[in-house]
Amino acid sequence: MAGAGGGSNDVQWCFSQVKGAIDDDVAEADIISTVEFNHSGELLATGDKGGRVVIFQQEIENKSQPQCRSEYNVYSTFQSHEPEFDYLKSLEIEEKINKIRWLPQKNAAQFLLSTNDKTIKLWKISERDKRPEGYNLKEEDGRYIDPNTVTALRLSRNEYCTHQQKSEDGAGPADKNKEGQFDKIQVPVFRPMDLMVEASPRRVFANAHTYHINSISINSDHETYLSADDLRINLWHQEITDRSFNIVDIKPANMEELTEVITAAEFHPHQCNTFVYSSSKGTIRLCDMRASALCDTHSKLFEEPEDPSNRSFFSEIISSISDVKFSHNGRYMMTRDYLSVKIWDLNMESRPVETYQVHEYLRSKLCSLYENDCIFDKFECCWNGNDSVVMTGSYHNFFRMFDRGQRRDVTLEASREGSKPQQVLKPRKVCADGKRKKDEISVDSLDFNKKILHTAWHPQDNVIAVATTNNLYIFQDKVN
Amino acid sequence: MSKQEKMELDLVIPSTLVQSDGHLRRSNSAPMINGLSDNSQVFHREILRSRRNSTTVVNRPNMVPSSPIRVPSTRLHQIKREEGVDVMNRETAHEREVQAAMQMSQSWEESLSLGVWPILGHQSLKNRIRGTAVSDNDFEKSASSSPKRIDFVPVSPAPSPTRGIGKKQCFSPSLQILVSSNGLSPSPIPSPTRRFSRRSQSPINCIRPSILGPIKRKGEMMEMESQPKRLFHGTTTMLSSDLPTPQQLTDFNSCLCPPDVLDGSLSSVGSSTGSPAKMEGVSECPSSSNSPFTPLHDHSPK
Repeated sequence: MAGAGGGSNDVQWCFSQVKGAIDDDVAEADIISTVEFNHSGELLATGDKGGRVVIFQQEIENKSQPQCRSEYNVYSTFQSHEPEFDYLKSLEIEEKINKIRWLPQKNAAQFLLSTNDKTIKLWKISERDKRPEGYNLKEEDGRYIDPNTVTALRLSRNEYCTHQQKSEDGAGPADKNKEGQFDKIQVPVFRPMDLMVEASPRRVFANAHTYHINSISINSDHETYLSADDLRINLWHQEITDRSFNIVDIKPANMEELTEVITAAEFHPHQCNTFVYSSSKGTIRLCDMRASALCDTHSKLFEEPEDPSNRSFFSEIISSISDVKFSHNGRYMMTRDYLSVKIWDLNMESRPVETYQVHEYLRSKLCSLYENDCIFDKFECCWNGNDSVVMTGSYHNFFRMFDRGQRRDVTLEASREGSKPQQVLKPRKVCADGKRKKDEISVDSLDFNKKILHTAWHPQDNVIAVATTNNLYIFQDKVN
Repeated sequence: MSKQEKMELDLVIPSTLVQSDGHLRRSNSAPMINGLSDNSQVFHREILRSRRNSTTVVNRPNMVPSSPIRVPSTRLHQIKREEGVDVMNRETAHEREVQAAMQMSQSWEESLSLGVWPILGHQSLKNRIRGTAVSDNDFEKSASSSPKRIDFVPVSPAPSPTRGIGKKQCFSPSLQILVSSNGLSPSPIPSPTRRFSRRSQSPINCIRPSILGPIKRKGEMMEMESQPKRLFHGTTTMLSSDLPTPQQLTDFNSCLCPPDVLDGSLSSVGSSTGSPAKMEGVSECPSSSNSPFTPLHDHSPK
């Protein structure tokens, strides 16, 4: 259960569910662009390129079948963003959902922030399972009754009447007076109805970013959040939509001097004044908002000196950090660049404390990966609930887990072939050299169109959500 | 930020030459455009292509860069490119506006000197003209300075509050379809008056079903297998064979309309005024004044 089997080799991962179309012909709008569990793990949200958000809910565990853990079923779906057009620059603004972040739950409703390139929206997801019934505002012919004729308000406890149920002789509750006019209004009562999940946009935070928003992060103060685009980071209050504070601006006066862009940003999970942002040059800057209003000057700069033996033309491109995530305990942060995952201790800026190679066999293939643009893929990474294991995606629908304590790693595959219920996932291996063993895959036969960019780990349990191009796989550890 | 851009405009000599192949070209290249080719010395010749992963599609057919050398298609270079081109765009727009304003001031000058407006005989027009231009000279001055005061279109247009996305979107987990906010399935008859014309080329005009969600799959543990133990009070006629396709969704106002208004008004209005007005009856329900969009003010982060 939670965290006890944190080791990736102690845990046997097995298939639970897969969502999405089976056919290989992928519609562009169905490409999954973000996956996020909420704080309790009960809800799982996905965003896609068509601007839609689908939320899955974990059903209450089925006591009669202890083997299979509870499943995620569709709870709500809504259109979050629509394509827009920037007339000034003649550019389309894609509706692709770049990030979804859940707000901590404060009442019965759930709130999440979803963002595309330009606009952030706060959505309220609430349930409705009752509706008012028993209106008798109309006469038989469908016209509304004349309010001037109404003389009384009738409360009915157990039953409601429509105008058809009036008894003509007045024996039952009658709404009509002697002239045959309705003069009593029935107070409607709430009746249970089929559960309906409503999604309504509560706030729209727009017009604050000239460049493309790549990250949003909710502060631990439960009041503010940040949004980061390529050159600027803005601080918002969740209630205020018409203004935001700019806290980081790396745009130079002369655009010719621009050398790096912001690739990701995140607030510290516990310290509401601290946030980090990563750059395309492989550096991470930690900023303290107490130091100054504009945090252009970093408080800490995390940068690993480059290994001169590995230097190549592509060094700068593959050092670009695509994702940065704080650990749950707030002591470490993890960064993902093209070939590796690095774990940094926040107290040590000079180098990471741990480095894991995700797919080192690609280092010799960088040239062809540059040709097909794969070198620019932005992989995400995630921690498990107790920060003992980290996970990230790779190509050929492989994803990798690294157990920090046991110094072990495993490669698993999200595919339809391994999709029988409760089927245990078999570890996969890629062989870099020519001597290919049985069940191994050679580097040249990897499918670079099948990539896992987005993964998420349940905050407490060993349940993971892995997104291939247009399918969402849910795996859990084997429950014995 | 706008100040800086104006300075950039002043520095660059705004003369352009049209090449024989029809591409606009600067007579003296701005430094930033030259700078783009610094990193491209090692690349073989290739036409610049926009990144597959790029999140905006640069859609200007006349903006093929003059240099055929391939530039690394990172976000960094994309921004540099866009900023450079923007300067050219703004410059072109600025020239156009200056010319238009000069034409305007010329035509006004002519009409004022010829004494045209007394002929118009429109009292309010005269008063308006008198109010804005004390004398001919003053008007000329204001006309020549007007290009600087022309307002640009806001960067990202605020979404129209009449769009369906502004309203609540309701989903029924047990039925696995989108429903109207009063609990009934949407009417299977689409109303032509409620379609929103879209400016972009996206074919959607309302929510299409996500492939992750409520679509039946063979051989997969389906959400619908376990029957929900919840009461259902909807009208069964709505649920039968005509489950509407998502394109037929109309937006129903939330919470203020009693459920049988839908049926009642549809039939009554429809019988008297014909089908296109069917949805008008629904829309007469007082729209939720709690619009989710607070007034948006354009502001720049600086």
